[in-house]
Amino acid sequence: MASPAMVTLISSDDARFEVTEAAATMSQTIRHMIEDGCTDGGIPLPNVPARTLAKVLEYCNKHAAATAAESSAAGGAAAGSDSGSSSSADSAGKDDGVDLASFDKAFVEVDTDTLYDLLLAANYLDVKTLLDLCCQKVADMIRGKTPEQIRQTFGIKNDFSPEEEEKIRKENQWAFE
Amino acid sequence: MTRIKSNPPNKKTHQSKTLAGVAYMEDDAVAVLATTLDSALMDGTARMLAQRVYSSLPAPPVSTSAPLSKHAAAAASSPPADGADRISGLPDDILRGVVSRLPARDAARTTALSKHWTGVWRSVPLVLVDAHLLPAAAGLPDTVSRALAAHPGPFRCVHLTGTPMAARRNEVTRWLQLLAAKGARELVFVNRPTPIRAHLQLPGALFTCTSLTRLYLGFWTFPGTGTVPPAAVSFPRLRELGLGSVAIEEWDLAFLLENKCPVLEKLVVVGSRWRPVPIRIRSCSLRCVQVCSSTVPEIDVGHAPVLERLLLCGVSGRICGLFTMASRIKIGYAPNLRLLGFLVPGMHEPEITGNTNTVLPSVQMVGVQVKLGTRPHQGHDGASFPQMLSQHGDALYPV
Repeated sequence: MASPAMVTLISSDDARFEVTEAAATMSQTIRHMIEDGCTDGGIPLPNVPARTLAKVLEYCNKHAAATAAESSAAGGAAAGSDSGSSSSADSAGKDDGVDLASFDKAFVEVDTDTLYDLLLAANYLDVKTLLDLCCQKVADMIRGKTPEQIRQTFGIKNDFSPEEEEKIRKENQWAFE
Repeated sequence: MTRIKSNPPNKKTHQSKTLAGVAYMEDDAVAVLATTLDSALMDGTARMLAQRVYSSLPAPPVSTSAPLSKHAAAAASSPPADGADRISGLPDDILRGVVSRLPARDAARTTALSKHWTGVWRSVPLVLVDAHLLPAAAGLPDTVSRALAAHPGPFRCVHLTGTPMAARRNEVTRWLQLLAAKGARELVFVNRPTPIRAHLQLPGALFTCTSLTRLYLGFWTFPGTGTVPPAAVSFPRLRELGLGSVAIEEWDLAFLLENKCPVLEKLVVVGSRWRPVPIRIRSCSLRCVQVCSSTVPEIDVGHAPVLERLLLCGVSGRICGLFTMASRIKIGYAPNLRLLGFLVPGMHEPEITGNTNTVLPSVQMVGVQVKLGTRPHQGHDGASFPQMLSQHGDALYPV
């Protein structure tokens, strides 16, 4: 089997990361750059510092590998149906699904600053599943809390006058009961 | 397998666990609401139908459970070390992405965080699941009314399944008007009648909801299309229609399918028992028709050029005294039909009425329910089943 195509990514602070094209192209932004042939000497990502890029690539490597395993498992299952040897490939694919869910959950167990960096990077790099995951994480941190608790969690400053806040709450009284 | 993660709040709920569907019941709040249907008042048939109807509903896109927040409570107690508010500095698209993943009440509360957040909720298409509003101090219908009024639209998805509507007819009309005015795209609207057979007439205002792409109704009488001018009946964007124990006139259903739902791809009929009507399918867009747990004297696929799947489960004809009549399954023009079943000898009379021959060349799979140990059925279906068996012998999946 041929070794996978590699690309080099360059962070805003000039760190170089060599990754498989399959992992890198989970980012639509990078995919477009590769399609446009802008890969000579590495792909510069001036909006993403090394610390964040490393974390994003950890996510992309894991998911790209799982996707590859899944498609080879599916191929194996199809090819194996004649010989009746598909069961091991099937169970490998299922394990990956469970594994990925727990990987994702652990992946976003980070402090809020890292979470914001990931959100910005996922947004800029256009890695949709990572952006979804991080938005879901923030949403899960908001859910079930009062505005005061949410402000405390995220350091949001209440810049309403008491009258303004009262008015806002009245407009959506049903949500504060 | 039913999954209910929360503890049953009382014994009655526990007993009625079987009312839970699968995907729909993944949502804890929705599951609690559905399982508190007063199943003690229902006979076995009604309970089974309610179960089938709830099972057929699509799952809501947001949930009150927070799968990623196991350790969030701990993190929440410690605000950012430098006290900086970085979240409010994130691009608006990201903040909208966060708010769009919250249940309506949590989402609306973000308006009170700071001036920066005031407008975010209103700029995110509304997802309102009434089960997520419980407990509602002002009563569920009033809370729903105020939530629908407060958001400017569009409404991405609205699930209303928690209110017995018989005493709330004004709200029904008002809600439909708001849904129409604010561009609702997905609507699940299930009544809770007592007894469950006491269907309520859904007002003609339903026909003004022309932005709907997905509509699931439960325990209603469908408004007569003749009650409004024909031009006023139109669902130009509707792709998926679910009728759960909905009484609808034969003519109205045929008229909707043939003339008024030009992009409808999926039709689901579940628990249609109390006013059996033939289902006549003439549609240039329908790809999938599912009929479950229903009394249907006839399913007539007259003209369905792109229909791929006709799925039947627990379908029988009229019940006359002690006897259940067979359903006639007529296939006229369905050149892309690949999957047909399950047909039950004696319960279904298949009939191929296409003008060229009696073969369905596109069909790859026919499901036939066979009772082993009994003699081949020689009833109403006469030669139909042996004929189909010989034509599709390679692709039969008897169960």
